[in-house]
Amino acid sequence: MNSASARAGTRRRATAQGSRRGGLTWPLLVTKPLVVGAACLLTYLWIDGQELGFTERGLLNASRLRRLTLEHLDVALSATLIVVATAIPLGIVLTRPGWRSLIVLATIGANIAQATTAFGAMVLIFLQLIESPGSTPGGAGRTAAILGMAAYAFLPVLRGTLTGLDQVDKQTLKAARGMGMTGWQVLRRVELPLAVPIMLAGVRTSLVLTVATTTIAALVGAGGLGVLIINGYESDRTTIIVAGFVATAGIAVLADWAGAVVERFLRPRGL
Amino acid sequence: MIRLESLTKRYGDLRAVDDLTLEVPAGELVVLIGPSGCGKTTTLEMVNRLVEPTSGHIFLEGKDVTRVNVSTLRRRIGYVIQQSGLFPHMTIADNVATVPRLLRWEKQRTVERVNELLALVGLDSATHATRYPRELSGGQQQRVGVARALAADPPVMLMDEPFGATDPITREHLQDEFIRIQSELRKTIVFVTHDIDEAIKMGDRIAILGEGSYIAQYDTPEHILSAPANEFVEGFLGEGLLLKRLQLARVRDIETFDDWPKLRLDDEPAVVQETLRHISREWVLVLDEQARPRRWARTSALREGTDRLSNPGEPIQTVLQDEFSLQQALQEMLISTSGGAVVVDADGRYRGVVYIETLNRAVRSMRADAEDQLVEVDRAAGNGGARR
Ligand SMILES: Nc1ncnc2c1ncn2[C@@H]1O[C@H](COP(=O)(O)OP(=O)(O)O)[C@@H](O)[C@H]1O
Ligand SMILES: [Mg+2]
Repeated sequence: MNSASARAGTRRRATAQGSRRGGLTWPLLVTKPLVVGAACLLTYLWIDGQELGFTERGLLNASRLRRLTLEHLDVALSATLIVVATAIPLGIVLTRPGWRSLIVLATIGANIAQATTAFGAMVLIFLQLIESPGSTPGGAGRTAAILGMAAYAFLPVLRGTLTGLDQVDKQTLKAARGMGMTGWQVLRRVELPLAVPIMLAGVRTSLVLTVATTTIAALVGAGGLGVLIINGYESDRTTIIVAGFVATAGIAVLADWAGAVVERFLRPRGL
Repeated sequence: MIRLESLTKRYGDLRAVDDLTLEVPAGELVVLIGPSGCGKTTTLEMVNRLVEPTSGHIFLEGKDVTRVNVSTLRRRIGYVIQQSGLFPHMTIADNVATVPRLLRWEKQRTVERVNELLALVGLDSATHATRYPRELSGGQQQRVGVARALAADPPVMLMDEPFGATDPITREHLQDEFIRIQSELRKTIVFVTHDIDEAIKMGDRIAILGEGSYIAQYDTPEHILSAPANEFVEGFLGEGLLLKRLQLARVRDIETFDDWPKLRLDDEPAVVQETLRHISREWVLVLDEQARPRRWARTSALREGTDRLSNPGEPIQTVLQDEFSLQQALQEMLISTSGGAVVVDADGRYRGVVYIETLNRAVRSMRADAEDQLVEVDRAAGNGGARR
């Protein structure tokens, strides 16, 4: 093979691989951020064109928006992190021989946690924490919000881990054990890589869920973009409610987008 | 050498394998064949203890391995399964390197071994090593499966319907390739199949199994074909026993005759005339200057000059060599003009002709041999017929 055709071959293979990675091409990669940017810009222009009173100016300035966004992300991402750090190991343990009988129980638990609304859980945890000595309302609020969101978003990751591990081809596993891999080696080298796509889908669902729902963290004093909606409601200013709504929806979409990007890059090649 | 001793596997009340005793001689390929659900896979997987026996013992090269550490044991046993069982997220090279890495070989040694093995199974490592399994055809994947099992040069191999999922033509190729590889490596192999033709083709010995891995007959393919032990075995061998026997025997096993009149292109005209005068047969075999068979010519036409020795005529399509099967010989005889099939040596030079009568005699004597042996075995075992 001469070098020119060799290069053509490489390119062809590279393109084939690109499309196999879920078609993560430039247009798709930038569409969502562009849409979110456009929505924010339109909202900004719309608000800018309104007659803004003293209240709005006080509630809608850049530094306050930034602080609320960071608070929001802090709660949502911490909750997701806790979920990932607990639901994945639990899912792994439950799929080991001898533990399978507990799967039903764990799934029911996670279902209940999701069904009983994050808000209820948050308030319960908040009330528990606030009574313990040395706690501040702000700290207790943040912890309650994070734990409440974590309980709420536990199920998708657990289910993703269980499904991801269960769908790994049994023949492949038999081959792995038959060649002399230990249980741990089978898990690390074969099961987990092959479960990654479905596990990540669960994490992504959970991330979007927390980012979108963390608005209610405002109700236990943990801040976040939900504060804007409460402000708007209390002061009867539609502009502020719309700003809070657009900002929350915007970062939820961006979280989904980030999840998709990560998913595509962590998905093992060859699948 | 593998020795299974009173091996039993029970699932509740079901005896998947019931008191099986079997010895696989070193360097031989033993085929386990039997109806679906008779316990072939269970038997095979007890050897590498993917299935733990309920009772009984497994010996590998004289050592009882029924209780040793499974991971260490399995790394010494090559394992090939249907659908290849390749790891889809690893490249071909990484797949093949699995066991060497588990054994912590040096990187360089592993890389060299991978290339060597890919070459052995007929895959070009430059184009295949960095590919992923799904980019390969089913047949190629199965080759990789074989290479992966051979990676750490295990003395023993277990193969569970390794070529079962491939189309007939690919399967033939894979079988031929594997026979070649095995003739070089001489591993001790247990090979499970449900395809009797594959069993006959691949096996040094065949164990025909019934329910619970009960051994209906354990013998060489020749003997099993010539003298099936009972009706169960006969039923399993199915139709076309004679043809299967012919498939097994080689041209070198039967007598060739050099009694056919022949002429060489470089014979002197006088010699040609002299020979023609004495030929009583209708056909004469024409050889070229290197004594390679060229065609059949009608004696009368050569005599009368309507055909000349140097005419191209109808060249002989196929000639037989020593390693051809008698089935191929038969095919050749049936289409040959003269009723005999031409046999050549490795250089393509004429060696003689085989006839259908010879074939018949060979089959009859194969059968007689096998029966003699059966009688001897029975006498030695001290039982008057019921063989187990
Ligand atoms: N894990 C298991 N649990 C219960 N029964 C099994 C199990 N594995 C195999 N069997 C049963 O054991 C018998 C032998 O199975 P197998 O060895 O797979 O047969 P083969 O490979 O000859 O088709 C079958 O009846 C099968 O249903
Ligand atoms: Mg089977």
